[in-house]
Amino acid sequence: MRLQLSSSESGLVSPEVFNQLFTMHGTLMVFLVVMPLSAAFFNWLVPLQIGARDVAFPRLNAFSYWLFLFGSLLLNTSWLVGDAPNGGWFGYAPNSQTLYNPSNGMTFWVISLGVLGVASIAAGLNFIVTIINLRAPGMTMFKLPVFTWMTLITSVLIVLALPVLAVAGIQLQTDRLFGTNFYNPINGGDPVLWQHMFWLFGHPEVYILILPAMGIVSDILPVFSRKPLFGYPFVVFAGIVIAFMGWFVWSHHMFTVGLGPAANSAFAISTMAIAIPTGVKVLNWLGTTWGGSLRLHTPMLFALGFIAMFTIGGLSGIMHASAPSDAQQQDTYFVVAHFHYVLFGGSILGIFGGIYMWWPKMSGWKLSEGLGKLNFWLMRIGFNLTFFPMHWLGMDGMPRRVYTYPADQGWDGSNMAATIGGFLIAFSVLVWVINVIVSWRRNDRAGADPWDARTLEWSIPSPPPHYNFAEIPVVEHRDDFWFKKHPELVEEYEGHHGPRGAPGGSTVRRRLR
Amino acid sequence: MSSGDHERFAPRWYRPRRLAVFGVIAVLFLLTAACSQGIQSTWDPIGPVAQKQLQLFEVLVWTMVIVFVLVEGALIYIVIRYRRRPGQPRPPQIHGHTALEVTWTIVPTVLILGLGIWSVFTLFELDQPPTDQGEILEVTVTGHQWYFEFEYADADGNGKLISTANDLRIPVDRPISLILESDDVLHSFWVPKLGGKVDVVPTRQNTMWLMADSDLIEQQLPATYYGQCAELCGIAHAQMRFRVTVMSEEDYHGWVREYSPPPALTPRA
Repeated sequence: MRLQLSSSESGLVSPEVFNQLFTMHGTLMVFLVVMPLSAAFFNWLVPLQIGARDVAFPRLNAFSYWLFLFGSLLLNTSWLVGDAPNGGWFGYAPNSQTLYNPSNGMTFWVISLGVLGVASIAAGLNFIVTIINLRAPGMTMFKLPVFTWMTLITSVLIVLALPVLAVAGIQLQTDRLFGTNFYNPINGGDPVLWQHMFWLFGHPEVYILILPAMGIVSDILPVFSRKPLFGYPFVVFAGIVIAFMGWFVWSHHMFTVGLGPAANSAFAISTMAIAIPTGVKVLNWLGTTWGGSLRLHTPMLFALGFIAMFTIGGLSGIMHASAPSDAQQQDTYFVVAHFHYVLFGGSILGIFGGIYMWWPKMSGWKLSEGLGKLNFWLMRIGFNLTFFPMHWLGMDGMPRRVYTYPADQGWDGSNMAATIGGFLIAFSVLVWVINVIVSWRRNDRAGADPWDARTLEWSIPSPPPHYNFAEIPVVEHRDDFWFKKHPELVEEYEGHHGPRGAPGGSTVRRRLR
Repeated sequence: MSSGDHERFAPRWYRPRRLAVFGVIAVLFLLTAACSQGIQSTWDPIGPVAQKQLQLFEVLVWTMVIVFVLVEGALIYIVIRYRRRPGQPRPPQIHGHTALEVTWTIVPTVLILGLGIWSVFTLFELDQPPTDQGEILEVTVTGHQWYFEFEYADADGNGKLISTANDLRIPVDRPISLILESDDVLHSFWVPKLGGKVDVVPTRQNTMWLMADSDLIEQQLPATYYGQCAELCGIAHAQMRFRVTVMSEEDYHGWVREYSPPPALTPRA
């Protein structure tokens, strides 16, 4: 895509192929990259963080994985038959319907997403039950690591949101195969209904994509600042509020559809309101690092990078939330800039931070710090070079989903910069792969707790035995492992806390046996 | 225990200077952005709709820039000031401050509410064309794969019907009321210099209004600007571009007078 767009009126890629490229790029990144990477962490890390031996339903978990693999292969088979989906990752009707899209691409899309959706729903149910039921004794909900909290919230969102996509997809597919008319305007169907259904799924979906990474960052920052997460209850509540409010904003993707000023106003206000709990999280992360003793290892660089980049994405999101302003930005490269800042600068950087943080625990050996830092800086510089210019490309009138653009618009320079940035990003991922190979060969043993961390997973050997815990721990505090290592800090902690762990609290001490 | 052999100092080369350099580059980007003068850009609007939308955007941008400077500035400060120095003891294990939490929840709420209310007022203000700015000219816009058709049902006030493709001609200083329809799939009608886009949806009639303001137009009339379809509509979506020509009232009437429909195609016998 970037090669094609690097210069105006390029003929490198035909519009047919380009439409398939951006459809698959969006679909793959959402469903086959960010969601599975998050799910990988759910699978592997949540039982360790709650002191459990496994998830509640291990066979369901395996089913979930293999179904995911099948769905991924099915979706990618479309390339092999020359018919990848081409109607955008959002599949707007009627463009996605048979009359305008007779080839099989969109059918691949609907069916694969249905399969992947079932896999996600199964996993979501599994993790809800696991987190509610399999916590180690003493681990009350407000002692959970934030990553596990975010997993719980995300799992609830998955279980509620994916069915909406499944229903909409089934309806689109019956339109395509059996001549039903849900979204077919010729016989009285309503293309706007598709948009409502898709975005009712689609907006909670973006919180599914970001909350796990926020959880990872919330777990990284305290370890590398050598102090606890600032405002833990507020960070957790903010996550819950974001997930809840995320259901009331979907039509901000439809500000230009013509719903009228009343509807647009309601969604503008609700969308702006979501900025508040999001901002609370960012400020609490700053509060965590403030006054700390920062060790700038690779995981910490990614976590700090997340804060920096996600903030930019969040701020451009507020600009979109204002419907009149959005009327110019919608469907332009400004939106592309916004969501890449939150999804790449946010989710991907957060996930990479998690990869570097938990790799030693998972494998037993450490990743190279030098290569890790190179990975980070190349990725960050490349990412900004690619996506920052897109803000003004959008304001300068460049629409989305165009396979080329005219030479007289002055967009060439920014597009070329974006392409160079894209290659830097690719190179940075290559650096990560090299890091894995080189470090594996070097086999620098990590031991159980290479980072002097806080949560339960660091109390067992690296890699963990397949039963995780030889002895299920009894938990007394949040960050229980940290207090087991530093019992002298228990009094200081309890002195700040009143009953039920209220922060900024009272002089009542409560000794937990 | 702590990863002793990894407790080396980070080499100076990636110190906060780098972050500062990035910040400077970011500001330069922002500055260069304002210098675009394209005929399809949202900067330097030529009509009141685009102008009001841009004003709102600029308020948002500057507010967000201030927030950006505060947050990113705090981040840079933190990374410099609280970097671990060798032999540094464990820092005070502060983990919350209720009054701070309340403050930094309430202050953004007030700010957001203000921006939200401003947006709502602008939304309603821009919803209907003004009735005191001259006679409203009605044009029906039909999106096709892959061109825009413009139909003037009453171009000269005497019921003259004009139909053009990708060629919208409007008199300056008069509100143009647009009725948007689609012949096939979704499209989106967008002339950045005049105003934000509205989608063209099969099964619906959407309406919007635009106006070219002679006070805002710097060139001589007739002046031409570009619009482009802004909703994926198939293979040639990228080619679905059209021209908007703003003319003086006299020139517009001249065009209407001289316009005659193209000859009808007759089937061969």
